[in-house]
Amino acid sequence: MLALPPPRFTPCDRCGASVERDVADGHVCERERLVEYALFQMRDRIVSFDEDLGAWLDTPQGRFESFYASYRRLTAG
Amino acid sequence: MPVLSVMAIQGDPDDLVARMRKTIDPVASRKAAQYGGISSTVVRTDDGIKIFNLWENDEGRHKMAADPEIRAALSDAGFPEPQFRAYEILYRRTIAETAKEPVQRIADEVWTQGKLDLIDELVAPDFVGTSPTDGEYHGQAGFRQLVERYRLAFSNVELKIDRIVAEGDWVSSHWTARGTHTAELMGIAPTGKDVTVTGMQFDRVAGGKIVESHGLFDALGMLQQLGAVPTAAPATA
Repeated sequence: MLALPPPRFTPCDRCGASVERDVADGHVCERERLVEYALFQMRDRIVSFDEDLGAWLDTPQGRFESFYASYRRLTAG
Repeated sequence: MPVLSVMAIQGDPDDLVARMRKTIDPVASRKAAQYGGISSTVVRTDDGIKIFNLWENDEGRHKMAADPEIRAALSDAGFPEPQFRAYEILYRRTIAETAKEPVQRIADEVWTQGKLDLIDELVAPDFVGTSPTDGEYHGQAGFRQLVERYRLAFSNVELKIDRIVAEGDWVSSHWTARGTHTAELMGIAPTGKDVTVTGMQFDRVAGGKIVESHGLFDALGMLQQLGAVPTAAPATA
């Protein structure tokens, strides 16, 4: 089986930042980069969130939850 | 401060040059760099030769003149003691240095800053380029398509030239490019990963524009970082 040599740089599995392979053990993920990377992996779900929420609110369970949330808000005074 | 030193020597020009090349040049060419020597030009005059030496600074030329090996070579060649007259250089332009400019601007302003409108200024209409992933591409439009393809696929593109040399109208550069893979490239869905690749290229410049470009870059490394090509598994004990 063909075994290709690894590249000099590799993206961190956790944050996606490009890290030089020789010093990868010392890499510390930047918080902002971690969040950016996580959000990027969820981008499709983020884009479809409004649509998915709307679709769910239109279901019997969704309609009940909307009613119950309004009821609780009104009775909480 | 750069200086130009000039020395006139009387005699038969061809004989003087022959002795120079046989006896002085082997020593001078080995030692010039350590004393800041940049170039040496010998011209024929009515009664001999004139030697024009370009130096990074005046101190260097004095030190070289005092170097024992140089003095011995001059003596062996039958040349007189070095008696140069030096002139402070106010302005100097070489074709090679001028040729670097469009190459540097393409990296800094087109690739990194995304100023694609500069392509018409920096790339010749009859441009021809070759690349390992794109084959041959032509003209300003071909160059623009190449840049757009990668700048669309990668955000935060930064292309930095690590070293650049030029000779005549050819410029060679060694560069490192970085970007975040946020859109499809070669059928690879966006990964959000940062990619770093290095590459080298030869560009020919004419009239301030790049007319020819031949580049190679670590395409395999790029594909491995994107996860499209596997890497070797680490060796196990």
